[in-house]
Amino acid sequence: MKILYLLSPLFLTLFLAFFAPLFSSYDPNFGDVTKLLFAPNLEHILGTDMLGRDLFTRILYALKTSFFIGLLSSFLTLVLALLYVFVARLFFYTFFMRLLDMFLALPFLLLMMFFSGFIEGNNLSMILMIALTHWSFVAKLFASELKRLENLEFYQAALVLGSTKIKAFFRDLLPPCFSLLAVLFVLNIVHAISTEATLSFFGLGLGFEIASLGNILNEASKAVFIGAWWLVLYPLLALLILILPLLALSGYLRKCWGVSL
Amino acid sequence: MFKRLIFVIFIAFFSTFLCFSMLHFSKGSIAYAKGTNAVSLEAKGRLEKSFGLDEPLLKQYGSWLFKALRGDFGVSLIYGEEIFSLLNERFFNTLILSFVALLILFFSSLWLGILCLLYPNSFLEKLIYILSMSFFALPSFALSLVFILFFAVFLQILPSSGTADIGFEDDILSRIKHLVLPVCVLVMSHLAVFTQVAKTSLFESYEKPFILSAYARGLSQIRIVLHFTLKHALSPVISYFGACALSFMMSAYVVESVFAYGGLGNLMIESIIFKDYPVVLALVFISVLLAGFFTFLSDLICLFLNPRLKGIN
Repeated sequence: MKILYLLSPLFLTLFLAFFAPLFSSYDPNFGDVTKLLFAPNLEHILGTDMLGRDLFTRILYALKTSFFIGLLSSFLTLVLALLYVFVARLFFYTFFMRLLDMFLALPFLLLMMFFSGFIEGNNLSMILMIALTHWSFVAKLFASELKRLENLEFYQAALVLGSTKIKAFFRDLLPPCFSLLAVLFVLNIVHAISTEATLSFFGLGLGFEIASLGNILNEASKAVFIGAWWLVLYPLLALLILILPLLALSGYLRKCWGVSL
Repeated sequence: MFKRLIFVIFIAFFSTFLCFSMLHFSKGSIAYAKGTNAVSLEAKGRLEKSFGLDEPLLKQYGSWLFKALRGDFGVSLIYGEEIFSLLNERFFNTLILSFVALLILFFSSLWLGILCLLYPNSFLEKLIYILSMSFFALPSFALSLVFILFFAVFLQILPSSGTADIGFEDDILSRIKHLVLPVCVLVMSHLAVFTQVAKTSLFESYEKPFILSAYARGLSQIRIVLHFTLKHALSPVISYFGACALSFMMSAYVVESVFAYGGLGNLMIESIIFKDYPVVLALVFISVLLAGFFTFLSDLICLFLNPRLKGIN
């Protein structure tokens, strides 16, 4: 029950974000030149930015983008990791594990920044890029969990009773891994959101026209020195509202299912 | 141990190869990176030839590799300087920043871990958890923005960017002043995880039978915690520090670049944005090697601290 209280801010903000047009009449990309850098007031509850855009509206749209990217890329990460481990277990297990070690040791943030220099920054390419650089971590934990389960008797019994290895993988090994994968899924959403924000902050992620938390903060970093505190504070709070409940959820699930990472 | 060193060198080659092939197959040409887009086709061909870009991929990579191994990374496209001397300047800045941050991180996480051990299930432990968790949840660039806003813009007690005030490059006090904010951000954003690791390791060794026998001998609790538990818990903590070297370095790069601190990270992001490829390649190569070196170093320290590990390796 406690977890519902912890998750309620997340649900509330997501509700606001998905029905954004109902709550604000402003266009997130329309800049009103007569209203540059207004501090929070009754008309613009969170103020306006350097181009006169309403910050509240922009943050709502940004929350939607960030959550969407986090969710989808985390899902894709999981699929890639599952596929890799499945293929690895079919043949050349040791070789694939060595390869996995190598992928784990690559400086992925660096490579991502480098690659995003070539790739046009839209939602799809961002999701793909985050998934392609995060799967190795999930695959490693998943493979070691499978290794542990393999030595247990129920798996041996399934093999002795005549099930093939592929059949036993799906019927006996995958279901007990579900809790681990679910926790990793939640953690990956957090990671993807903050990675996307970091990349966008340096102008290497999403295009400038897309409202995302990273882009808003990127613009804020220029306005900070004028003393426009609302441009930094509110996007940060939005980021926290998105991330902290998810972290709490992953902690709760871990405690509930006894998953140790 | 030796095997792992070879593995690291191999990874350094692999990651640069990945970058290299990405460069090769991307649509844009390196010739346009010099700034002007109005390069004639003939001049573009000449430029590409001078970089050896008309040759096949493997041959190009081979020639880059042999030069890199001799310490010759080529010339930066933006600065027009030898990359080696460019890196040389900034290398020490990064080293100072990350070493100071790592030292503070190490001692503070151990200290917080011990506090949690002495007062389990108390208000203090919850406070430590909540505070460090909320700092951990923010990405490090966002945390640096908050610090800049608070300390540099509102309070105006600390500088927001640079390695030292202009004209005071040799003044140690000014350098320290510029270090404070980046170090704080780096420590804050990593404190949660490292404290957690230190705590787990401390609690684990606190449950070992020799602690009970130490209590039976009538030693004081402070002595048992500081002498027996800490020493036993230290080597997993240090090896975790070593394993995190790469990710720590990446976030140091990010923080450096937000604070415009004249280190490798600032150079890195600048050269990625302005597409200065030779510099990026050199930096990827060097960062992987450095991270590998730190992992190796932490293993050595563990071995030195904990003679039991000698049997394992």
